Amino acid sequence: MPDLTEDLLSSVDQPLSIRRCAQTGRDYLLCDYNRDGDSYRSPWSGEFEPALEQGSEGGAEDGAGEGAVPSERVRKMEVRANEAFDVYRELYYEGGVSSVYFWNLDDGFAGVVLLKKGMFLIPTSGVARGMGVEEERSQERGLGNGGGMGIEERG
Amino acid sequence: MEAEWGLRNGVNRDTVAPQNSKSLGSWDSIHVFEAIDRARTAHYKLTSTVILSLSTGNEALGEMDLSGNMTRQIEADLPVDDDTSHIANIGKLVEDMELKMRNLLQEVYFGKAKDVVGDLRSVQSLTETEREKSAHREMIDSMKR
Repeated sequence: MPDLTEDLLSSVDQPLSIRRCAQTGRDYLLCDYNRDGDSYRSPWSGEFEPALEQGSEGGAEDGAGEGAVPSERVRKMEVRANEAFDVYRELYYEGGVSSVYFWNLDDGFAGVVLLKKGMFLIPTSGVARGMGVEEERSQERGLGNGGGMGIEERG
Repeated sequence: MEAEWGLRNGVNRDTVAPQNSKSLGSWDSIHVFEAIDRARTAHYKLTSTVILSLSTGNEALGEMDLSGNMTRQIEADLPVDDDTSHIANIGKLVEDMELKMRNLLQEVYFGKAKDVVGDLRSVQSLTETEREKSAHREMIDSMKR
């Protein structure tokens, strides 16, 4: 049911994807709010990547959605918010990626703050060895009920 | 407001290759907000979602996967002098929300999941646990006399 795809995508929460900004070399996060077709707007450069075709840009849209670019005032706030949350991310997350996107509303503005941090693959041998050492030590002390944790992993 | 949590915990030695102990995890937070201008204040509406996923596994323990998402919403009226105030206000709202959600996840969801898994599974064998328990009981009984 292809006509339901859009609805499903917007109602199901999915982990965020990361892309590198071609102009600044910094990573940013992708979501529906900075997307137009297959292009995404980088918060660091403010530009869509890959660049939108002239035709589809048609008219100065400033709401959320297709090819939306915030007004000058709102973009200025967007830049400051990105700087602020970059510091926030560094302090609280000690790594990861952050992105902030703003758009205009009739009676104000709206935005989204995205933060992501992942931990990937801890080396196998390190974990196994760590457990093995723990096991040996507890036996030496005569505590001896390591329960066989990681014994098979050793060696 | 919604929260869904799923816990999958299967002991299946066949699917875990021997030298394949792994720990993976990711945290994604998405804060969508609206700022509606009023006289000298702005009305903010914030909807925050955290998507968390953790998995670990090795031959001895089997595989474990704990993941889910949580959504919370708040509204607030805060004073605004100029555009800089917006950044400070949004920053404060998001910071408070993340702290609150992180604590909820850790204390309520992880705490509860840990209790359940701890009750269902044990590292040592049941007979061993029973033996220790009876030894314990004997000790207390002898002290009562």
